[in-house]
Amino acid sequence: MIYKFFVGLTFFLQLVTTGYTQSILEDIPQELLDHASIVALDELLQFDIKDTQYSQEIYSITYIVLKEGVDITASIEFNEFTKVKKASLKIYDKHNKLIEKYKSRDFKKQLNNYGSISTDSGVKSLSLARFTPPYKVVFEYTVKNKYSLFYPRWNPIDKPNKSILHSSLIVTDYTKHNLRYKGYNIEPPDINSTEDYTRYRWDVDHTEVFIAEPFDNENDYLPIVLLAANKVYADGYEGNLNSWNAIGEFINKLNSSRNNFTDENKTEILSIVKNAKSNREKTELIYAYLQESTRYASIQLGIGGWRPFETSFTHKKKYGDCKALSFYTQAMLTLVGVPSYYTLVRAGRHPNEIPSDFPTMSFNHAFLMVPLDKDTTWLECTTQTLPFGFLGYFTNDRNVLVVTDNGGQLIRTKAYTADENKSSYIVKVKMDLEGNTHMNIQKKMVGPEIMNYNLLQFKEKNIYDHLDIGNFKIEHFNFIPLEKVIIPKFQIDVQITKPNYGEIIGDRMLIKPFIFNQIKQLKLTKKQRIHPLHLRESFMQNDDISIRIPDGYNVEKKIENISINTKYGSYELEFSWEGIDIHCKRKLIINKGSYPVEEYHKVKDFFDLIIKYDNRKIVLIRS
Amino acid sequence: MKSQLFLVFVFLSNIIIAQESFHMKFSDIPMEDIKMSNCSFDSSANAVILGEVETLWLDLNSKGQIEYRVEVHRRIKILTLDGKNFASIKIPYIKGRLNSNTEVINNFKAATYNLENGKIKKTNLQKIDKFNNDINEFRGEISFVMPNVKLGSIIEYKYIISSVFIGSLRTKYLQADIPIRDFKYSYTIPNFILYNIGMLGNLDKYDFNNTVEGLRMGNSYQDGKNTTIIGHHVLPYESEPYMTSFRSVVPRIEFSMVKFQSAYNIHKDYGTTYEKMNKLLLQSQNYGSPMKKGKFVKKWTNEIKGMSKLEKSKFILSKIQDEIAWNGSYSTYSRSSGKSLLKKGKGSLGELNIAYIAALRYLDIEAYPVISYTRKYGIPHPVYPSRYKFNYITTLVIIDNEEFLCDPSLSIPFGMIRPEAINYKGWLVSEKGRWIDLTRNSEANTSSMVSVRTEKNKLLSIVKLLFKDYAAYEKYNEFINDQNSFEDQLKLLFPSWNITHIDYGKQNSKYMFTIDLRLEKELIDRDLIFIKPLLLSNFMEPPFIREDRLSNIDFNYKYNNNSFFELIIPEGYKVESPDNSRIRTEDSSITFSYMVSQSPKKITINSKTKFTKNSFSSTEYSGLKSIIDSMVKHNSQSISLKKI
Repeated sequence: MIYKFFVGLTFFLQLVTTGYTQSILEDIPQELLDHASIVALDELLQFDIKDTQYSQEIYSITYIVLKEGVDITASIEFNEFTKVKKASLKIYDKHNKLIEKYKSRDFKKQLNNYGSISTDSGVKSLSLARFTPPYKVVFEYTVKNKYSLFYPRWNPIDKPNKSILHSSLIVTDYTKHNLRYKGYNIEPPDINSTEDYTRYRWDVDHTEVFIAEPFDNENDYLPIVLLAANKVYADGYEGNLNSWNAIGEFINKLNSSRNNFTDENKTEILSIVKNAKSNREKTELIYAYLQESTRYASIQLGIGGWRPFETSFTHKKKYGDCKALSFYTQAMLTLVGVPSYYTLVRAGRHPNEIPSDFPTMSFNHAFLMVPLDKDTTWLECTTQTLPFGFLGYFTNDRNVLVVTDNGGQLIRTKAYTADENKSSYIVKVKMDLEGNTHMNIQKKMVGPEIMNYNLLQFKEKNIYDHLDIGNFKIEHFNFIPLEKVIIPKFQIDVQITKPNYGEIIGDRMLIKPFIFNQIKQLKLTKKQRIHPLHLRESFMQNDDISIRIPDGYNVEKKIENISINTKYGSYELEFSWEGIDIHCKRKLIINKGSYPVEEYHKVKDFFDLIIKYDNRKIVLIRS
Repeated sequence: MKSQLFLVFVFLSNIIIAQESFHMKFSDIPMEDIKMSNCSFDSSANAVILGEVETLWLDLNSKGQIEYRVEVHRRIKILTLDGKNFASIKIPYIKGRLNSNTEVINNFKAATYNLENGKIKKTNLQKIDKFNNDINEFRGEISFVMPNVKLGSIIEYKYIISSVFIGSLRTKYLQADIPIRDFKYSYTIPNFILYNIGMLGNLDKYDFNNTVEGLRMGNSYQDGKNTTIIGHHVLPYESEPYMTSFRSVVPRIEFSMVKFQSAYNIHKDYGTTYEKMNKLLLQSQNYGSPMKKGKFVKKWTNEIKGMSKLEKSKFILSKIQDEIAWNGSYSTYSRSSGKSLLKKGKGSLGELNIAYIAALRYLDIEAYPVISYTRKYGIPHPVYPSRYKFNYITTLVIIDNEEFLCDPSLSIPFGMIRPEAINYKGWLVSEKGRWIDLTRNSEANTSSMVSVRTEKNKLLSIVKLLFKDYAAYEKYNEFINDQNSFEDQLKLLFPSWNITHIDYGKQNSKYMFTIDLRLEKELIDRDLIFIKPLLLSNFMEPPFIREDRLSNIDFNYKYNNNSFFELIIPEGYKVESPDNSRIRTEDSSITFSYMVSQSPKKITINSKTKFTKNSFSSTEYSGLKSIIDSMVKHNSQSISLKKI
């Protein structure tokens, strides 16, 4: 979390707090109470834009909490450029009688310093856990924000089990030109224009709790409004956000004159590549130097939350955050004659997609793009261990803003194919009469799959923790060091003894061969589906298992060969045996894709079949 | 029990073994350290603490207040590229209500050393690399980023932290998240202050040396005692399944003041023994006195008329639970009467329990407070109490010689307490104070009944899963937190079954949670059928995979399971079933039986597991793992139905 965001606004102003004179529950329609832990009675976020500043003049929330154990914390985010004013919170009992009042001073400050060496961002919060439901909360506060780089994202249904009686967003643009918006699953706003301002209003009424489903995307069904400024001003820097190109230009302004290598620095950096013959070679050498000589340290203070350190500082200190390290790497590459581009991204596995048609500063990370002769290479500058050019799940398959000298350009990073994201097992099993085994396991990982392992600190205990096959004991292990290429590879060889691979029942022995690769994460349990389904990653699993069964047993029931081909993926099982040697092969491919609700049952059937066939057992009988 | 929990208690009079010490001078970096490339006793380490010297003593500050000071000197070698992350450091400090009481960090210096052209080059930390973060109202931290850190660098820092909070001195942890090559920890305490010094965790690998020592405090010399602890080649701690918290397993030294006698003859005894602490508590205005204010119970006179003592105790408990919410405070004292708490509608742990005790005593029912530690705070010293470290309180109700431990701070049945409070023993505060086993009623009971018979050529299975006590409490919480997710989880566990009924509630004021399932399978033309008879067990998968264990194992509950399976054998089929088994641990703390009974028409299987204790030491790991593996194996066995 590198790029510091200004206040994230998800709460709302309460307008009507006096209309519930009897039991406050009586006025709430039953369907809004069903499955709800929180009901928003009447919320409003009022957002005022003045010049290049903005404020949430009254900022409050009224909701009723219905269930014990729901963690309600009233919180207000802050940083150096925000000013929180007039916070107050009142609690009413179920008869609408005021039982507690809080003021600004009751909100306790907590700096968000967990991932940072130093930051000025934090939260002022007040826990309401002590109150016994049902109770009503009236929460009001004002936040003034000095700069307009980040407007709020309005998401009134911000948690599961929350229903809404009424919620509104009112944006008043006193500049009449400094607002853009994009709505998801919500009607266009009512717009009211006067001489002094333009006012926009969105309403969400009578909305029952939402049901989150596996592989869904909240943009498909939650009411959300994205807001953004056109013109921005931040700590002496002016710019526009109304196009990706303009955002790039603004970033260039922030980064300008930060490249100030000394002559000594330049000599040192040039010496790194003195024998390099190509841009690729130079880039690899510079990246290796970066990984060896620097490290990530997050320091997010004031304007430093947006702007990189000067390159001479990073060079001298050998530390920096993502902005500093990416900018430093770019400066080194520029010095050695390799063009590269500072790039902004919303990092993390499956983040909210950045819509290409709505330019905003919704990024939280910086890295680097290097356009080499044959392909585009991406450099993650905050890691000491990941291979050159490897994106992984942190930055792959998403829109990123590449900042060129001429401004920004939104492009998409690589999505891994199934062949580039692979887990394979080659296993040789020797069984005894008790069903116990000796196994030689070779596990190969390709692409993002390697991220499941701590590659530099690979210990025996890692194998115990990661090889999810029940009980076993390691006799010997070895690993082949990570192959540091754009699609990296990693291999573990391990010899184990594993008890009870075969289950003895009288004269029979049952063997479940496919215990190695699993698809636990792909289970779908619901009979019906409400929202579209998004399989976000393609991947492949291969198992090749040879089993030598104990003397005196024969195969009574084999596993049938299977071949399933769908647009969602494919699944194949092959079984053969000769004498006491059994050979089982399994190949699973999952295809990335988005599928409508109507296709849910086909996807579910496919997953169910995989689970069914993965659980198939071979039956041996004593001869 | 002491040894099982790995508790080693040493008081100041401990006898000692002198051992090889070591010295470390700032900036005096041996060439062999700068050249070393791996840690000889932990080859996979990313970084190693080459040396750590920490010294604690008491002194007077400029205002004449007694304060304690800790000088910390640490030197770390970076062994891998990932290890560079150990060169960013945070030092937390406590803020006082008055600024003048905030802990102070001074005499700070830090540097990075690298080997350049065969020589050691020093880079000093500068002001710009160091930050003072105001975290919250109670805490701040000094953080700093060591400059010029590379693979092979050594970083070193040194500071003194001074604190006026002498009631409880800084806990010293003797193990870190990276290995420690050499460390020396030394503390000197003047004789006029007596600390209860708890030495907790596994301290086998450390050497202790005690000496009598003079201590300069301000302008005077005080007699005192010094203890030095030396350790070498200490491996890092690591996370393991079923461990409570690092805080409770890492070897550590804890200090809590029990007695203070100043030069001016001001004498304060905070309870050097449990008997003294007991007496102090009973005399306390914030403890003993409020227990006499039980009149507020008159409010329910009509409701409790004619009830037995047990019924009254249950009724009052549920009233307090319903009408007074816990305010989140772990204070074990009370400054409020039950009447004022009812008016406010909330109170601390101490206030809730003391109000409950007062109410019961008013009704002539015997009830006492029991003070204890929550699980993540370790366990109380068996001989020397640390009064201020007790952070939980429950109520012991005694009716007709039967004892019930109760918790008015949450909605939980009579006789049960919050799971985080099920931790070793608590101290019963009464005229005859004594220890109370807090794990006594911590059963998590599960049972299942699986009945399989043939109906119209279909094999019909009907299952009832029953959860009781803490097993029901956990299931109930899972269920109310997210009903959808709970049902999803059930469907994942029983993919092809119909979930016919889910029920929960209290029965005889105990939690009950039941799940009914049903499955039908065609029998026609099936020559060979395999059935898994047991669907519910404490462990369906082996929980322990690693061969070795460093920390003790704490299950929180005593797991008991009784699973019964009955199959009416379909005509024309014969059954092959697994063998009987009975196993137990050496001390019978876990017993397991798997009994099969078969007649021509019916087969029954009964699997029973019983735990008589909640926690096990790491030395018991191997036996524990073996018995649980065996339980898992038996409980996942199948039976076969073969057409004759």
